[in-house]
Amino acid sequence: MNAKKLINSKTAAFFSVIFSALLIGAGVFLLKDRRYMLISLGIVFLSFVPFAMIFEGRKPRAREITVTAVMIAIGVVGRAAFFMVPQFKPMTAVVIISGIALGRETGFAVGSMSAFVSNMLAGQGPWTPWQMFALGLIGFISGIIFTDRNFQSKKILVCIYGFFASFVVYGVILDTSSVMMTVYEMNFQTVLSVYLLGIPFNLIHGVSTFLFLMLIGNSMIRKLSRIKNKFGILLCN
Amino acid sequence: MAVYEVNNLTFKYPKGKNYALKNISFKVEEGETVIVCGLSGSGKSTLLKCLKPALVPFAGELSGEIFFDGTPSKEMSNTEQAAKIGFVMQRPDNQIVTHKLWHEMAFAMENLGFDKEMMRLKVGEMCSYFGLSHLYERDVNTLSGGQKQLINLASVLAADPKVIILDEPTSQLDPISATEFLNVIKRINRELGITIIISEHRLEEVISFADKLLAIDKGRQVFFGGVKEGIKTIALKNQELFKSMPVGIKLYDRYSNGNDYPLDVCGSRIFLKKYTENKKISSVVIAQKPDREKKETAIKCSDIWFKYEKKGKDIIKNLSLEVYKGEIFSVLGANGSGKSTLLKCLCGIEKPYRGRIKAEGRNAAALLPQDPALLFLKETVIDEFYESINKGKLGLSGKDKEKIEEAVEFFKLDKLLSMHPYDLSGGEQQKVALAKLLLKNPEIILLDEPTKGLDFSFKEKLQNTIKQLAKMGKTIIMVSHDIDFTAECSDRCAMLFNGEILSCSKPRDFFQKNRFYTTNASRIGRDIIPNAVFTDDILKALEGIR
Amino acid sequence: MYNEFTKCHPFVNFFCFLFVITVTVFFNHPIITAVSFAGAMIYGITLLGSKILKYFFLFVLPLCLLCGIFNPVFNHQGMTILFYFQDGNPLTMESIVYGGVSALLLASVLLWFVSFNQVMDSDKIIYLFGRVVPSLATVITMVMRLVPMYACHFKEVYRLRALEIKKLNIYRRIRISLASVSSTTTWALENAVFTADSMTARGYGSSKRSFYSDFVFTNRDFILLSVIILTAAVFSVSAVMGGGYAMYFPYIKMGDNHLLNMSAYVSFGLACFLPVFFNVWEELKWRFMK
Repeated sequence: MNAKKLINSKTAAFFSVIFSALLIGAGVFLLKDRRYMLISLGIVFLSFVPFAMIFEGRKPRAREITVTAVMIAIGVVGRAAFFMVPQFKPMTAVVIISGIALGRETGFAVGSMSAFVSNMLAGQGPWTPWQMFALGLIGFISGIIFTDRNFQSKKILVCIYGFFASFVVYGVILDTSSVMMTVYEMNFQTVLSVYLLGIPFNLIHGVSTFLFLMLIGNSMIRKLSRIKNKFGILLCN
Repeated sequence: MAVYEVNNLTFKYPKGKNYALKNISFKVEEGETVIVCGLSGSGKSTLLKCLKPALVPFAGELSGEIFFDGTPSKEMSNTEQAAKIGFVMQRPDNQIVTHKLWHEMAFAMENLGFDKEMMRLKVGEMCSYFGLSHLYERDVNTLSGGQKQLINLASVLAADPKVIILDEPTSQLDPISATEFLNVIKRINRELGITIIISEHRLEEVISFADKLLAIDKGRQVFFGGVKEGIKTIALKNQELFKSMPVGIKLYDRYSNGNDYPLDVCGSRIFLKKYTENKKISSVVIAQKPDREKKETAIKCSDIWFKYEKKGKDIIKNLSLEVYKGEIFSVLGANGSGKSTLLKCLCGIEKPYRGRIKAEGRNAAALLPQDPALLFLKETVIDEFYESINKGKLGLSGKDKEKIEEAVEFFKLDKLLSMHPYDLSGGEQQKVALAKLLLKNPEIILLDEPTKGLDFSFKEKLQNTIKQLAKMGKTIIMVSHDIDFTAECSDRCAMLFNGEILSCSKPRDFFQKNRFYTTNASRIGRDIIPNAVFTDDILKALEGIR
Repeated sequence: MYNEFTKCHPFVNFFCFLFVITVTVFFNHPIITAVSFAGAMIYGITLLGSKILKYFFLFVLPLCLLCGIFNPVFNHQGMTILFYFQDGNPLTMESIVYGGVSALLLASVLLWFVSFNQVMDSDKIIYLFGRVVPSLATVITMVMRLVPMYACHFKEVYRLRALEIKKLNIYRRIRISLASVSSTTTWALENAVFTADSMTARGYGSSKRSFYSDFVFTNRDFILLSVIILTAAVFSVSAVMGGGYAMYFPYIKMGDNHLLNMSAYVSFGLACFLPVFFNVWEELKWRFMK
């Protein structure tokens, strides 16, 4: 039991930071023009390792597995549900709700796997790891900040968080990644200009997350609590 | 040694007031088929779940002893019970985990840590035994309900269980797939000697090959023992449960005192023949219902054609149909004959590409889908009703409240109002969904397979409801596989085949013509009692010669 | 064309793509990028035919043009100044070349991913995941099944709701969609209870999981994998020693050891064209057998 407890999110985060630091060092000294790429990709992959270890290490029971799978599938289907508005993706909102209701680690799993599976259906690309990282991070953070008990009172905060998470966190991570792919040296100017180009898309994304959380966030949280009761376990950690 | 020995099993749900099961005791020998019968809510499912330790409902109070193969079931390890006790549930869709057929077949074995060579051999064996080889690489979602249920069974069988427990495995299947599935069950029992414990409300099919019968009512054991004595006991003790028995058994019980019940149509015919020998049978007097003089058309289709894709096959071909106001109209037909598509066209979800559908007024038709859950959006039954009336706007007028109260009274839902729609049983869900539809005040109500998953007593209630609605002037169009049900309650029946309506007439004329696709009473009475279509016809004819 | 490479063991497919895509992403060298582009394009055509050209012209080319313009506009390093922009920043020849190579690189990566998606189907991905992260692999296969099922349910709920609303404007559509997503979620979660039961009933989590698959590692998979590993090794050695080296700023300079360069190009080229070569080889074999 002790050994299992050791691999909690804090140790995971710690190791991520250590490895990332090593990688940054390696990148700076070894590669010249593609170093940002290597470093960032390395960080992204390394961040998956501890989470995957946590997920596997605690030997999730059938119930946790099914609920995780259901939330991922809902997020993926949501992308198709709003076909009439381009870029209107409720996936981020679903990830935030999962993070809040099921805990930060499940939030990370739901986020990263939603991105992975939706790309499995739509086609993987160089953007896959970054999307996985961005959504995973959003799910993880929402699990830290909010809990399902205080959702009701902090609803507007959650909505604003949702807006910023998709508009800023997701947007910046994805746009930065495309800059890294193409540009010799990263500077503020290039990132900013790419981000400005992407504003319309990110705005719709942010608004859709906001609307989704505002309008049915509450009922989604209640549905999940009901299932947690029905399963008779606290999925939260 | 008995496979199962259950002594004084008692079970209570954590929030329940009454015992879900009380003092159940029985013994199952190896290789037997045991049928568990009881009405909805009698505790059948709970009992079956208690027999498999991993599925005992969470936090319930369980007392009494359950021995599996001589060892107390509580002491079995997870691996052991997963391998030895197979469990197949009601809904085929919910049990499937993976997305490919081969993976689903191997799922149980993967969990138990079988090695790869062994698994490949077993999967190959299973596919060949069940005739699933041609589906091996298919996506699970592309399979039919019957095939899915067969995979569920195969996946459980692959782990080489001693017992298979089946909880109403065919309730969601159409009659043909159900019969096929039950034949497989019979086959694995007879050919492999696997013990079967099955609960089922399609008694006609199972009762003919069952060895033992366990009857429970409201959590109490009514009977356990041989099938024929069991039927006798039920006939004496529990009329409500006896109603769900096949027609042949009911006839025998009425006109004979023995307990050599005929368990299938063939046996019933022999009994009926013997009983009517050398006696003169008056032919069935048909009380002609007067045709309604003034026939108002409720909905009329003229020459409609429909297909899903431009290059696809025509699902509905040149179909013309006229249904009158206040009529109960049934469309019968096999899977894939276009029944559900026809309903979708009638309510406006799909548009035919040729021909016209003329209905009285907009939103005239409301559809009750096969799965009533499709209509549920809220967290309590009463919220569903509010939602239905004001479509999400706030505030209710006094008139609206009255309307809801009326509906609640009509369907006797007062006890369910504060419950979550998903906590209701199948029959209750359907009532709520129907009430929700009626609040929108449609002229025409379309029912898609309304009897799916319902037991006999719910079917009876549904029949009364439908008839009442028709009297109130609503037009009802339903599509169904359930021949006996449609024969009893419709004014006209139509047979749909390959997108076309082949025959359309009153139930009596309709089923008299058919030899195969007809009611059980008609099958039993054919050539013995002329023109018999309903159970009542046979009863009347026999009454005449008594 | 005959696509025998798709039928190889997932390890072979995966490591081939891994090697090729990694090198393409990290080595911004004109010749390596050009080789990669040619490999991606040809293999793409053999897999998808004219569809890949459509994808290329409609999606890839505009992105690459953007990338080609973006570089010289924002990057002012380099010695060879062609002229000055209005804001006083120079346009340099080096940044134009770098932009061109980057654009080609982007195109190759995108095209390789098209082939990747075609070859690595869900079965293969789940197989690979299953070795490393078994629980996540189970989650993936479950989601693959649930997505079409939920999409179907969602569509039905949506259409039943939409029937009741008279004029469907975008606002109402979003409202109905949200309500339908919510309803689908309830349905999905309630049914998940049974799915979880069915998993437990079949022993999920009771002992160490094993893996069923139809993939068999045959001799030819062994040979192919060896070729991939060999090329990767040769490439790595020559790259570490300075082969395939390119520097763009402040002036363009490439590795000048001819032998090292050639060994890098050839080993990488071999890997890039391995799928195509293999397909051609199988095709010829088949023809001669008949």
